[in-house]
Amino acid sequence: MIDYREASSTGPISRLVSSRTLSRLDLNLLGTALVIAAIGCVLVYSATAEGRDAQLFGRQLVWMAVGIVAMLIFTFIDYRLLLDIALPLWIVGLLLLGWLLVWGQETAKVKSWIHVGGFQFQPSEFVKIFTVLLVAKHFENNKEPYLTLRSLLMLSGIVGFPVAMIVVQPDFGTAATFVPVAFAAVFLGGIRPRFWIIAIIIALLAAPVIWFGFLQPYQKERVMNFVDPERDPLDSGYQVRQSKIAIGSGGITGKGFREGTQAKLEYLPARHTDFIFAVLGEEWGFVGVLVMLTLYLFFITSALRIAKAARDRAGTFLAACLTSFFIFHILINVGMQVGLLPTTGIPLPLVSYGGSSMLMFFIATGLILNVDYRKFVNVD
Amino acid sequence: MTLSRKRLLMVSAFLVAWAIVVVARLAQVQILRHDDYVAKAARQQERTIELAPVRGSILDARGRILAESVPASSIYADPQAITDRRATAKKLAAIKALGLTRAQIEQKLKSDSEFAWISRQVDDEVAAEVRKLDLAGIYALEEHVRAYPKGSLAASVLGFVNVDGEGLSGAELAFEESLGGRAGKVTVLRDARRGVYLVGGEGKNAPVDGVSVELTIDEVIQYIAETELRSALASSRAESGSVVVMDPTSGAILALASLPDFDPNRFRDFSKNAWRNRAIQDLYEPGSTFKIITGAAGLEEGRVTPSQVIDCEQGSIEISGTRIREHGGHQYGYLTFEDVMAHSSNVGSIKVGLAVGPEAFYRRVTSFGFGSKSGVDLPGEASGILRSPKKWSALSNAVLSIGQEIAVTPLQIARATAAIANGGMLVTPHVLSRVVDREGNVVKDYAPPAATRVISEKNAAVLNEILKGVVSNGTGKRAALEDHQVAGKTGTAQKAEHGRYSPDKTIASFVGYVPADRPRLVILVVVDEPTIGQYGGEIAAPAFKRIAEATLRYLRVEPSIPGRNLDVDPPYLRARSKPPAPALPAGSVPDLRGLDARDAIAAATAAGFRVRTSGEGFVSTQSPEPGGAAGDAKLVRLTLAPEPRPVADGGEGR
Repeated sequence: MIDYREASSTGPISRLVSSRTLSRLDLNLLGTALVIAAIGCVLVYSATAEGRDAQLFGRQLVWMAVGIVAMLIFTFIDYRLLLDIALPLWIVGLLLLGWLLVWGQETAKVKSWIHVGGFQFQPSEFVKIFTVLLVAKHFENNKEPYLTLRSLLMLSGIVGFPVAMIVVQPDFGTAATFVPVAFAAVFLGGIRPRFWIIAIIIALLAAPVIWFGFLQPYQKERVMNFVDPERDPLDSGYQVRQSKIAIGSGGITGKGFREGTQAKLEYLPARHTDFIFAVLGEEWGFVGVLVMLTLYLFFITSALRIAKAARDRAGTFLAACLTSFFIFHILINVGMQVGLLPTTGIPLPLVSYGGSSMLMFFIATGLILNVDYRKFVNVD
Repeated sequence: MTLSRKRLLMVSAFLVAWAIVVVARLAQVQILRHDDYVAKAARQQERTIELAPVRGSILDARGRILAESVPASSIYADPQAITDRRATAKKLAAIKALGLTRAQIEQKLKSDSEFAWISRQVDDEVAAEVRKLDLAGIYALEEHVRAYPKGSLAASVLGFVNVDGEGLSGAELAFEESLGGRAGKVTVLRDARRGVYLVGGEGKNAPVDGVSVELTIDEVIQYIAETELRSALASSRAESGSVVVMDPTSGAILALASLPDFDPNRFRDFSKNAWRNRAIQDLYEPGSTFKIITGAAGLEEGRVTPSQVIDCEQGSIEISGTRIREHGGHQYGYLTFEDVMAHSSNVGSIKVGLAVGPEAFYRRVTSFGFGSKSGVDLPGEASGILRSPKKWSALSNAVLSIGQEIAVTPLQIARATAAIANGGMLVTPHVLSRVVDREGNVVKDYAPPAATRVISEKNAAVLNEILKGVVSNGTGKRAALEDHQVAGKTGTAQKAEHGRYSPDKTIASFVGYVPADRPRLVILVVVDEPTIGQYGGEIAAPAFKRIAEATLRYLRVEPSIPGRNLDVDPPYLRARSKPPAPALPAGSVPDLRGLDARDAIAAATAAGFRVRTSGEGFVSTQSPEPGGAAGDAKLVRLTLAPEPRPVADGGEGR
């Protein structure tokens, strides 16, 4: 085993890209990601082609291009280099969130957007990456079979600070997307059975506290509507009802490209963002949905295989935690649109319209590729 | 290993479990409940709107419009698009011509649906006012309203339509299929904000306008019949009556009058009683007019000849304990069969009927169409009441001979008489002449069912002579014309009341045809319950005469009595048969002089003017003069006088 620091003696630039790079990349993961993103483009185009949203498709393409470039950059910068600066990045991320809270503009009563030129982005998306990097960094030299209390506290801090600041924005949906990172870290870090019991007891005790102490009325509404979707057909249950009508009326083979009336007639809310999966179900039917789910499962298994094969513990944690993002988003988003889970504002990875999340998922993909790329010590 | 095989397996198992749940759910939604969701999508996205076709016109025998559909605007609301119901209702209520209060409008706007009529078929000015308000959720729709420009003329024949333009009675109902056309269908997609998105509905979904129906009814003859019936009712103080004018050869009904009548433009303002077409819906005992059938049966069965002498028993005959007398207390001795008919002897007729016998008599009566519908192409026809001989009493054969124990419609009597007039053929009465499309092409001609012979030509000729005698020296003298010979029969039937015949309530009637030897018209006049006079000969016969006279002149039938010349000049015909006025520049006042008030108002209104009248009768002067401009007020003042004044500009030049 050769330490990479010796290999790096040729200089930082040559470490970034080598001539054999493409052949060494995991084309399964890369190809699947690009196919999924391409399908996303088709869906976003179809969902926005009519009317006032027509300019969104162009933006989607720009974000995709930016995302792909970012993905490549984060593939070829050695992730261990990034781990070295994980703590400063994480701190910068928290500062950005803090700046937002004090000076940020409210968009729909939430201070989560930074406007740069014509585009806007959510720093919280990048804080996710930074947080995952810091989690991986934490485990870089941690060889304990089970998490120590100190380790657990540190993890709580790494994940808890950004979550707390995002909750204050207040953006519970985004805050919730940090949960899989914590979960993956604990899952991989290992935990004694008695901690599981304690965790479950804490969760059970916390549930009523969260319900009565923290949840906003509209969030309670969502949960209630999930339990009984017909109780309020025109308000928050409306979205799920409409998405089910879209998916259900699509049938086996769908209505065809740009033939989705639920989307076109604007019954489907957020049809190019959070509910893009319903557009898929309506226009491409059960067949289209199966193809999409297969692609996602293939993507996830490829990513998990990379996490397993990583050359060091930090690489495994990095790839697995990033994969947990994908799993979480796909599970929640699809579950929500078929009416299995309550409505939350969670986008479908690489498909939903939205620059920040698009960029985040491409960077995440790049980092997973990065871990794969460097699984062999003699990379360069 | 951090990501041990075991842990990877756990994650994979979790993913697979999730995938199974989601795919099962998708299969449920997309495959099992697919139809359900398609229906749900359609329910919220699609609205099917009916496109109403334009209803065809009803024309008279010469193409004059009796009923037409004219454009009108209807005001409707999309209650869901209205945010401030109260303010909207208040603004609409301010338009007085809508005739709705704020509360009424607000009530209509409370509907849960996306469509509610505010007011159907309003004037253009009202619609313009509504449009000017430009209220959200309030719209005007181009519709058509049914208009009967001649008012009550031929109302019971024409019938009327509901507010959606569907025929409810009369010709409007009978010819619904032709007149109504076919509604078009448009599927409108609506988006989530209730905007209309896409509109289809062409080709086979486009509405097909109705075609026009030309009737055999002639507006002028109808007018004559109604006018004369009205005056007969007035002079005898009767409430109701009917007139049938029919071409005996073809069965074409030229006029069918029924009083009291109604104005189909506002039929709801009249009682249902006024809607009846008495000539085909009312039953009565025909009385003596039925003796024509008795005579026909006697002749056909060979039981009687015209010159056969019958003992009329000095005024009465006893049939199984019931004594039947002559009308008016006459005490006839021996009369020839001709005179029995001429003087309408009950005793003589009963003897003829008894000679024929129940079975043969019943067969003859049914062959003349009694007891069954005539098949006229108007709805609601009654078939009458004729019991079979099995149910007859000992009296039945005798009283049937004088037109009792049988209930008939006026049209049945006219039809049976037509069979005598035309030489023995029972024709089917009808009002449809032909169906024509908008370009005037004939779509369908009336196809008459085959006529059946009910009496030999010879016996028809014999009866013709007998019926001429009724008019020339019998009970029907007052039906006689100067220019033409008339054949006919009077009828004075006592009305049955509480199971017995009323002593003073009668139905006076006269049925006849003219000219007797080449009949052009069969006319039946029925007056129900005259209170001044009671005999058909004194009430119905004169009305027959006047109708026949005017109609024959109108039809330019040359006098059939030698030495008489055709003189077409009855005053009301002068006004009505005026040739069309020379074309006037558009927008100028039409020539209304010589028209009666109703026609003048109709013509002026059709040309877009308002009318103020003074006096009664016919237009003698008008202001502005024909061809003049009425100014912004569009008001034409008419002075009416009892007799139409000859029109100076040569309109009367014949």
